[in-house]
Amino acid sequence: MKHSIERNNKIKATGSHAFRKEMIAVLLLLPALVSILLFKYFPMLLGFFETFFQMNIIRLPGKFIGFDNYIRALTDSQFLGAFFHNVKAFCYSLIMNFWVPILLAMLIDEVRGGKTAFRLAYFIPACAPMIAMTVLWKYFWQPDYGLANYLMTTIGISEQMWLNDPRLVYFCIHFPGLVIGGGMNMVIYLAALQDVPRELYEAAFVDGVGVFNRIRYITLPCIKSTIVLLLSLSLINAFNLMENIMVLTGGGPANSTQTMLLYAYQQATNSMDYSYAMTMATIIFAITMTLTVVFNRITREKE
Amino acid sequence: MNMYAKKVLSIVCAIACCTSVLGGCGKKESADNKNVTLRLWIKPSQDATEADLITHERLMEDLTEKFPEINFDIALPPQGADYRQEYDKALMAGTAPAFVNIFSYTDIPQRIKNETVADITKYVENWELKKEGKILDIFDDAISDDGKWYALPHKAYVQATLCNVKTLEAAGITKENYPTTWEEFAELGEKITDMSIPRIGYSLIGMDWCAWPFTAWVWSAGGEMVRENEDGTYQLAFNEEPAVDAAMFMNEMIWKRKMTQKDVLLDYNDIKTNVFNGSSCFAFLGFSELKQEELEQYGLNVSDYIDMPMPVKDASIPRPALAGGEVITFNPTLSQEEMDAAFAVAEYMYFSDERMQVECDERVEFNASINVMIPGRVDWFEKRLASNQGVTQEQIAALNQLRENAKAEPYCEHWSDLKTALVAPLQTIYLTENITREEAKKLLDECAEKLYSLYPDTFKK
Repeated sequence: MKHSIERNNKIKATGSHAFRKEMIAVLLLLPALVSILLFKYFPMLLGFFETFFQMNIIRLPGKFIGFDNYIRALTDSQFLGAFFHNVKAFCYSLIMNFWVPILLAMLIDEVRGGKTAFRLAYFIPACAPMIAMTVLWKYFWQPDYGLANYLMTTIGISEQMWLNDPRLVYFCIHFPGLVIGGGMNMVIYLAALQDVPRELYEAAFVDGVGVFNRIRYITLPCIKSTIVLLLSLSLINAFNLMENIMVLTGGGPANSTQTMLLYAYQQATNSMDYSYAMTMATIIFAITMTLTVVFNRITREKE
Repeated sequence: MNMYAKKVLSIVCAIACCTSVLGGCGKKESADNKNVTLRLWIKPSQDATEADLITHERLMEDLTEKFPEINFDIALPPQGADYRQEYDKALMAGTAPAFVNIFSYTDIPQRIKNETVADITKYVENWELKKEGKILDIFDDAISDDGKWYALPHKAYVQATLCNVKTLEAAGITKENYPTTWEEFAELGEKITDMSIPRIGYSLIGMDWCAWPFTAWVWSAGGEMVRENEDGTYQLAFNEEPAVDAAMFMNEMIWKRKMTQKDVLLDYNDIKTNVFNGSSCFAFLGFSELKQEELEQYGLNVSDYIDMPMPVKDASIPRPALAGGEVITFNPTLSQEEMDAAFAVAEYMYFSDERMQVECDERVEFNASINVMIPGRVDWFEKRLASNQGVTQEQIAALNQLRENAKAEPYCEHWSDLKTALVAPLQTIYLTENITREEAKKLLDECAEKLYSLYPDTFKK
C-alpha cells in the first residue's frame, strides 16, 4: 500500500515536472512564434486578402473586384510566358546544376587524404555573396570585352552574344553552377554519404560489384531522401528566381528571361499595380506548393 | 547560477522580447508641445560627406528658427530597391513624410488616379511666386488635372547627347566636326570606334530603360511616341515610319556601323562609367549626370565634356533634347493643419530666395559637384549655373542651345507601362542582325495593338 502511494506520488511529480518543462519550452518559443505569425503569416494573409481588391494605398483595402485579378493573370500572355521561363529555368537547373554537387560529394567521399581541403575548396565559393558573384559572371559573359569571348577566340571559335542571345542566355545563367558547383548542396550530400554504412560497400566489393552498380544500388538509394529534399528546394528556387535574372539580364533580351516573380515585381514598381502583383505572387506560391506536394507524394509512393 | 534562476531569467527575456516587438509597433508620440509634427526624409546617410552634414545642420537651424511652432521628425530616406515602392510602403504604414521630391513628373498622372498625392490647388492658386512667373512651368500639364494641382516642380534636366571631348580628340577629331545628322553621327562613330583600345563611338542604352532614350531618337526622326486625341486619350505613334526609322538606325549603329557596344543589356551605370572614363565618346546622358568625385577618379574635369542636342535624320528637323525632372508631392493623409505647415516648409526649403542663395553660397564654399538642373525657382537658373566651379562659357552656351528645342517626356497615364511594353520589341530589333524594316514595323505594330487592348481608356486609335 505504502509502495503504491509512493509510486502514485512519484508519477504525479514526474507528470507535473514534464508539464512544467513543456510550459517553459512553449514560453521560450513564444517570441519566435509571435514574430513569425506577426511578420510572416499575417502579411501573407493580408496580401492574399488584397488580391480580391483593386488596392488603394490610402483607403485600404480598396475596391472589391472578386476574382478579376486572377482571371487577368491567367489570361495575361506575358505572365504565362513568364511561367514557361520558370519551367525552362528549372529544366536547365536540372540538366546543368542538380547533379554537380552529387558528383562532387561522391568524388570527395572517395578521396583518402586531404578530404577537408577539397571540401573547403568547393564550399568557400558558396559563402561568397551571391549578388557579387553574379556581377562577376555578368562581366565574364560581356560580349565586347568579356573573358568568355576571349577564351572562345583563343581556341578559334567565333565570338558569341551570350546573355544578349535568347538561345544562349539560360545556358549562361546556369553555367556558374556547373563550373563552381553548388558548394552548399555538396556539403549536405557529403554528410548524407558519410551516413551510408561502409559494410554495404565492403560486401559489394567482395562480391565484385562495379563502381556504377555500387552507385546505382547502394549510394543513390541510401541518399535518396537528401536528393528528394534538395530537388524540392531546387524546384522552389526555380519558381522564385528573380535576383540573378535582375542583375544579369533585367528580364531580357526581349523578355526571354522574364520570370513570374520578376514580372510581378515590375508590375508593382513600374505600374504601381500592387494587388495584381500580389495576385501573381499568390499564384506562384500556389504553383510551387502544389508541385512540391505532388513531387513528394510521387516519391513517397515509389518508396 | 542554479537551474531555477536560469529558467526564470530565460522566461523574463522571452517576455521582454515579446513586449519590445509589440511595443516597437506602437505609434511614436511627439515629445514636446509644438502644434504640428512634420516628418521629413532629409537625414543625411551614414556615408554623407562632411559638407552634406554641415549643410544639413544649417538647414535644420534655419527651419527651427523659421518655424518654431513645428516639430520636425527627421528621418533617413528608406534604402530599398525602388524609391516608389518604399514611399508607398511608408504611406501604407503611416510613416510617409509630409512631402517628397523623388517622383518624376511622368509618375504624377498615375498617382493622381490612385490618390497617392495630395490635392494642393488652394495653395498653388494663391501662390505669389507662381503668379509672378518665377516657377518652372514645363511640368504644369502633367502635375495638374481637371483644374486641380497635385505637385510643385522641383528640378528639370535636359538630356540628349553627352560627348567626352578627350575621347573625340584621341580619335583625331576636332570640336568643329560635331555631327548634326544621323549620317554624320554614324560616320564619326565609325571613325572613333576602335575595339583594340577599346573605344566606341556611342554607348547605346538597350537595357530595360531603352524606351526612354528611344523617345528622343524618335523625335530626332521627326516622329512622336504618342499623340493626344481630342477626347483626352492618346494615339500610339511609336509604330509610325519615323519610329521605325529610329529603331532601324539603332540596329544599323550596332551591326553595320559597329560603333556601339554589342552588349545591348549593358547597365546604365556602366554606360555612364564608359563615357566618364573615355572608353565611349557619346551617350544619351546629360551634363547633370557628371559628378565631380566620379570624374576625379579618371583624372577628368567638367570641361572635358560637352552636351549637344540629338543628331537628326535630316537637317530640316529641329535637333531635339529630352526634358525630364522631379516634382514635390505632398502626403495625402496629412490633416489640414499639417498640410498648411508642410506647404510653408516646402516653399521655404525649395523656393525661397533665402534658401536659393544659401544653396549657391554653399556650392562655392564646398566646391560641390556641378548642378546644371533647372530649379523650381526658374529665375535662379542663371545664378545657380554661375555658382558651379569649372563650367565654361562654351558649355553654358551648349546647355542653352539644348534647352531651346527640349521637349518634355510624354506623361500620359500608363506611360510607364508603354515604356515597359516597348522593351521586348526594341531589344529584338536591336539584337537581330539582319532584321528587315517590315519585320521591325510588325514588332512595333504588335506592341501598339497590345497596348490598345490592355489600356483602352488611355490609348485609342
